[in-house]
Amino acid sequence: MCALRSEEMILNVGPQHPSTHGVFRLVVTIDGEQIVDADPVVGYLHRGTEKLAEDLQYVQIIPYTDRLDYVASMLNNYALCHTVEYALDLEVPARAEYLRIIVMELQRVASHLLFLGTYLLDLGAMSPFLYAFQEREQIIMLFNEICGARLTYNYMRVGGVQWDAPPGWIEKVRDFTAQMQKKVPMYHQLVTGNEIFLNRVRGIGVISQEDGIAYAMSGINLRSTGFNWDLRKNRPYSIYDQFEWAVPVGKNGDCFDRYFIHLQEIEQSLNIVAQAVERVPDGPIIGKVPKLVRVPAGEYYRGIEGARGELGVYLVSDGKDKPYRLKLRRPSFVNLQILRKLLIGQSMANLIAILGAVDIVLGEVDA
Amino acid sequence: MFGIFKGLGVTFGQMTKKKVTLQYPDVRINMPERYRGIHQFIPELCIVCNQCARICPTDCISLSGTRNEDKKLRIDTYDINFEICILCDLCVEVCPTEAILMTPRFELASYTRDELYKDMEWLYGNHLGEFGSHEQAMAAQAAREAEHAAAAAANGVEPGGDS
Amino acid sequence: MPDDVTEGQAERTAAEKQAVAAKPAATDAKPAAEAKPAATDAKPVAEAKPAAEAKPAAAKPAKAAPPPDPRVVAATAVAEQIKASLERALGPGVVDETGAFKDVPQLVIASGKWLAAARFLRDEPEHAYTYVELFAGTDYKDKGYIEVALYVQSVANNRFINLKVRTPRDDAKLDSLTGLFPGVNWEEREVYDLLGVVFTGHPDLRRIMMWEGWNGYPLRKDYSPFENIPVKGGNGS
Repeated sequence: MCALRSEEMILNVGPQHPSTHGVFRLVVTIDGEQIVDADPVVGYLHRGTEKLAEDLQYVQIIPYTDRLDYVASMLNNYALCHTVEYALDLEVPARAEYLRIIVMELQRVASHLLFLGTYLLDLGAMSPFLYAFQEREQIIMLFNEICGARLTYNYMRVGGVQWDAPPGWIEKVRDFTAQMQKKVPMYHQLVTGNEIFLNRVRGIGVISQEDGIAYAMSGINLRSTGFNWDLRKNRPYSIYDQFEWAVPVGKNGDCFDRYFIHLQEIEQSLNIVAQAVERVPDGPIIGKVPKLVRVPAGEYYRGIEGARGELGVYLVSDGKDKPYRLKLRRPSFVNLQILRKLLIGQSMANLIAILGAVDIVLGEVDA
Repeated sequence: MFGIFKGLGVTFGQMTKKKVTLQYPDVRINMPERYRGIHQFIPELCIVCNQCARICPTDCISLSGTRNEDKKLRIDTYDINFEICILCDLCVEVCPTEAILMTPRFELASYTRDELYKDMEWLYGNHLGEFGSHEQAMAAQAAREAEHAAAAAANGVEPGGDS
Repeated sequence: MPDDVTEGQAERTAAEKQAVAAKPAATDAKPAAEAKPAATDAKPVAEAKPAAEAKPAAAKPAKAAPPPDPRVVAATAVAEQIKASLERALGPGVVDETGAFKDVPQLVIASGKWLAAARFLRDEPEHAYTYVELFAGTDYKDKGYIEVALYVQSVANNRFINLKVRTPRDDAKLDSLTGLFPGVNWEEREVYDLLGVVFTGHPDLRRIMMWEGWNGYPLRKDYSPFENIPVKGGNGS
């Protein structure tokens, strides 16, 4: 093809690279501007959560789950608590379910806002990052009020939640939701129509539906391929079936679709929150749970729709108060596998656009 | 090129809006009541039940106590290693006498790691603050709570309840 | 694998199933409504007694439990169906054991037929288990094997099952499923890294979380951070 003979070069992207959002190393072999091969190297943030969990009671594992996907801790909390509740056939009080839904969907909004901000920052747009963080900060302050932490919430417990909403909190959420719903068109105005942005993301990093399923992808990465798979609808848990909302699905599976679905999901999540705050019932916030939770012997797997895909907890119990084995199905880890396939043949400039759109959090990849 | 100008319109619109940032060390963020900052410890209330040390997921609490002449346990040492403490609040949750609580303070930076190993005296100092004794601190807290309740009542919000 | 092992495992499942039903009621909270009839059993014997009773009924593990959970019964029936279908296609001895936990049917595949069974279940339109949700390994030290669990969803038929395979601890070796599901590539590497199962046919079997040169497999139950000191420093990849 090319008359000139060029030499391949190996380039390390990361482990300390601002656009990898953590300690992620990507060894790319490039031929000029073309990527010939890419080898993701993970594990720099491996803390052995699964091993640690084998030595901890269930309530003690919850703070550890905060540190997996540290921008969506509420969802991680829920994944663990939900699996234990499923194993125990526990019923969760209605008020706790509503509070959980509210915080989980707000968390999803916060997480997607972080994606929007950092993704556009990777692509060279500075101001969307500031806008996104402005709104995310409001959500974080709401969480700070309800559970006293800004990032590692440790909010949920087996059978309910730990703290009730403080006085006036529900109203604050209602105000924020209304205000945020008006803000979403602002993002479209700010970014979605931008020609430079469109040129960088349209038709880049296309995942076909077959690949999406074969590579076990989940979440927005899978939905961007046009495959309608959302565990909140397909395998309903909690009280998601009581709300009216839609699952945004893409068409082309490119980076633009993934960006666009993030924004649409923010809208849908706000939709759920807006419905939920209107009918939060009174009552207890935690069910009748023994002080020391013992899960009956057996194997349990429950997946929930996390911010990045299917967040699952596989629990093997031998009847003791500590899990025999706790495997966390981390969506970022599974989704990242396709990266090599997406990168080969692309130009170097697209690397960041593709990596950013797969939306990984390294705390979750390495667990 | 229309999309870019539409986006720039949003940016220019922002210019007239209020600033949301704080000049941090000078202006401090007002942490809510529930904020889980570094601990305070009240030796007067501790019954040396060891529950906090047992529930701690990172084993950062170590304590010891002795039995008094009147058969009551008294706390002798109480140390928290803030190198590994994850401020998860589980110790506060299990404490039957609320001897260990969390303060809204969060600044713990120090020059050496050793300084992060905090003993009972330091944790008690966290509780006492500018007050001389436990009683004075509690009285001040009660006054603050009464004020808070009065303010809440004035705003028409019932303290303790919601929605 | 000899037959008596299979039978023993079936018994274990039966005992576990009973424990599942009896345990929530035995604890002081009584959270589960359906398990309440078993509440009369004393706490310590609740686990031991049903195990002895279950022996004659070991062939039908789900039915042996006093209050049969309808979800478990239904799921076990599904597992039996799949087993029959697998044995029609691949000959007898493919499935070592069937059962269910809650609503998820479970099949233990003979380790030699792991790849063939997974391929059959993926390609046959009647099954079409194409979407892998979970791939996890567990070390059962006392029983002497490492178990790999594959939770796989059939999108077309909207079914969710759990396939399992067991391999001895001291010579842990399995066929790689990477050819069927590229999505288990890293998961298999993780199981290799943390549990020491060698996946034959894997295109790129390297450690993924630990560095090459790490000594031992951290998620094995006999792993000790003091005895398994890393032998040499790592250089990434």
